[in-house]
Amino acid sequence: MKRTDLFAPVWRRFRRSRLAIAALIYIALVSLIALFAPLIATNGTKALVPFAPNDAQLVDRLQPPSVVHRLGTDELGRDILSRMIHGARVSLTIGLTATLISLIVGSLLGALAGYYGGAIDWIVSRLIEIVLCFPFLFLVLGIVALFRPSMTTLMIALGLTSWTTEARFVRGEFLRIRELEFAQAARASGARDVRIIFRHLLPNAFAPVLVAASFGVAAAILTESALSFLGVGVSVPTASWGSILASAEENIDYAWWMVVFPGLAIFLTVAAFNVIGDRFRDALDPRFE
Amino acid sequence: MQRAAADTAVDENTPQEGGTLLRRLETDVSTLNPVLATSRYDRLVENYIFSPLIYIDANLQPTAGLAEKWEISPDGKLYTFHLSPKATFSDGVPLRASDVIFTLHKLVDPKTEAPQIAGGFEQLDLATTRAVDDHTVAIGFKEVFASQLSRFNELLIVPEHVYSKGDFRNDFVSQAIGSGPYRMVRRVPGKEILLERRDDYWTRKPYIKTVLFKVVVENATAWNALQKGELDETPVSSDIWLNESNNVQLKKKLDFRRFYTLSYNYIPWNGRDPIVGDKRVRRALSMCVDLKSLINNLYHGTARAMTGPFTPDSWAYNPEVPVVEFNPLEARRILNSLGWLDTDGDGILDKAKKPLRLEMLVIAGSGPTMIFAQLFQSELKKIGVQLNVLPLDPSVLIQRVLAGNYQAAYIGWDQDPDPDPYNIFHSSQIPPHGQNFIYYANPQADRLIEAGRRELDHGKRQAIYRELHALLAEDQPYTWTIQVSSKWASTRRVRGVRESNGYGLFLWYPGEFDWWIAQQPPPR
Repeated sequence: MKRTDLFAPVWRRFRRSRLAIAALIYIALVSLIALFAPLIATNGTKALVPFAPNDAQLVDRLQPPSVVHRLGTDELGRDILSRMIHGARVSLTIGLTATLISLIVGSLLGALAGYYGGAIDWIVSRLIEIVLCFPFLFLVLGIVALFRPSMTTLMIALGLTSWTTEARFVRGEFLRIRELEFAQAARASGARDVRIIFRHLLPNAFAPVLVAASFGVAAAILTESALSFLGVGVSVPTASWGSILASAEENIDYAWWMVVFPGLAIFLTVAAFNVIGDRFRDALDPRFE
Repeated sequence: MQRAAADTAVDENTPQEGGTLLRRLETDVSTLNPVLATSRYDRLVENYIFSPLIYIDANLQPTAGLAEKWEISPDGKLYTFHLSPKATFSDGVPLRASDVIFTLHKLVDPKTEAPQIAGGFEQLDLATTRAVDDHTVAIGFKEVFASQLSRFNELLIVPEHVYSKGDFRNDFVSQAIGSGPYRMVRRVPGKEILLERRDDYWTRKPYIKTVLFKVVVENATAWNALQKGELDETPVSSDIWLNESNNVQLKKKLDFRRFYTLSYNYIPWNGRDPIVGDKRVRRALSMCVDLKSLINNLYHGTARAMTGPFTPDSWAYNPEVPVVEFNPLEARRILNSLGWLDTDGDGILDKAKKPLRLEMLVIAGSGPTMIFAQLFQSELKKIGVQLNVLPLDPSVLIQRVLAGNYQAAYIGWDQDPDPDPYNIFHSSQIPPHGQNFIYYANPQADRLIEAGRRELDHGKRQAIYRELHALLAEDQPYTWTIQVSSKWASTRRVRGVRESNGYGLFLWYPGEFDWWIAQQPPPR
């Protein structure tokens, strides 16, 4: 009950942005498509898109968009639309899972540092600085190169390199709220540290972290595309938006459809997550009222 | 040259002197020391700076290089070369027989670790190898080797008075002194190498004054650079060739050429692997490569199917060996008969609870390779074989293949003008001794390979290699796939470009030394 009270004005302010609502609807739609990809795009005449994503027909390679192949075909004669629908699964899964990993790692380390302070804070803060020292993409590339490229590797590599934002946010919030009355009350009533951190402090520090996470999803999708483009992303024949773009590179002069559509999908999705994060941050700020 | 009639501004038959040729290096050279050369990119540059004992002509026959003439002893073990007395190095010092002896000693010295060239000189007999006089050198071998003479083309001579001083492995990586038509001006590693024609060159001088090699790794970058005139030549992809070689606007600026060389693609199967070590399995897998569709749809007829270790243009090729027919159903039947059945209904064949999963290494970033790999993967999946495709950097891939740490790969060979299958199929050449990284050991093949390299009668040697061709096709240690024709584009200001029968545009004689630059590119 208390929490709905807290979030109601935030949601009211957020709702006011029509762009944010559009972004939310767009993300929901893409998520639905991704969820039902195996039903939407598969072999068989009954499917909405009657092509399996990895079905190569060399005779039909590099066909421009037509009634049959609505977004054209790639260099192996595979249907781009089908690959993009299945690619949405990969891109969203990687984006969300990587963000979840960074959210868990970041919140935990940030909470420990902010709550206990002292030596633990020093260690976590230095760890954050060390991770931040490395150029992000190179760090991810290094981790991926160590193991064999796969979806799991990608998600872990992305998650373990992008938790610093979340950690700093949570640490900052904890430093502020750990001395507030409700925290002191919890402590005075004899609650253990674990309970204070997870039941009392973390929920109150979570709003700004969710904003960071929203940007994080966008960044993860973009990085996955970049890695796939560089050839260290998901392994063949799995499609992700980035890997479709990568295979477009050699045919860029003859197959604009291989560039435009996956590029547009990446752009719109990343933009949508950024808009949501941006408006959510504004909505959290009571001064915007 | 047919276009001569249309061009009035430049007389095609009167080559012009001077100019700068902008050549592409797809990969920077690893070293400019010819004894240590590892890749053909090294040789592209070294060919200008150094000269070999003999050159290979347009028909892949030996022709005069540093040696004006030569004799081979009746037993085929002693080669006597008569060097040109006019030959000098770019520092003005005359080239002597002692320089040849020095180079040979360096080549076989284990400390040098000369990687590839040493292959043709393994049987060098230092006891009978000597300088007869200043301009005559006798080179002896312990065993007869039929394609020995053409191997002298790989022996680029270095001057003893320069290369005997300092650290042989490390001091001559970025500087070079040789007896070739050009001298080295500068090398900026990773970027460019500038060469300048020697005014004191000892035999017929090439027309072009300076040659600038630019390191351009990306194919797309090179293609753009070529159109802007920042490069004069580059190989082009099949897709560019098919789409652009008839483009009227582009043909005003560029010449397009297509020809077959001595290279071909194949899948090596690791013979020690429990699954693909069985030749019946290999044959079944070979049946899942749709060569016809690949050639027609991907290359639009600009490639051809391989059947065995020799290319269709080679005299050693056996025209009676058939291409392995594309037949996935038969492949599945063979695998089933070998006990590979889908017992758990997951769509993947299995035997003793182990699914039929294979891994193929491919070179990352190469378009046609990835297309081939994914097609093969998709055909195999249909018959219940799961193929994982692992893209790797070329150096990592080669390292893993040479170490036997692989199941399958998709790579290519560049053959020697006079083919010798010894190093890649003879059982004595299993790593670390040679490049038989498929661990192929068949006594019958060994006998044929040995007989072929000893036989000096061309007709008999041809019969031996044809028999070997059929035997290897039967054993399928490789899945031989295709020979893709080389496709090149060059700017129209570069003239005198000709193709050899197998070597392409350069590295034969006169090859690139006959090119010249039209100072005023004429309108077409």
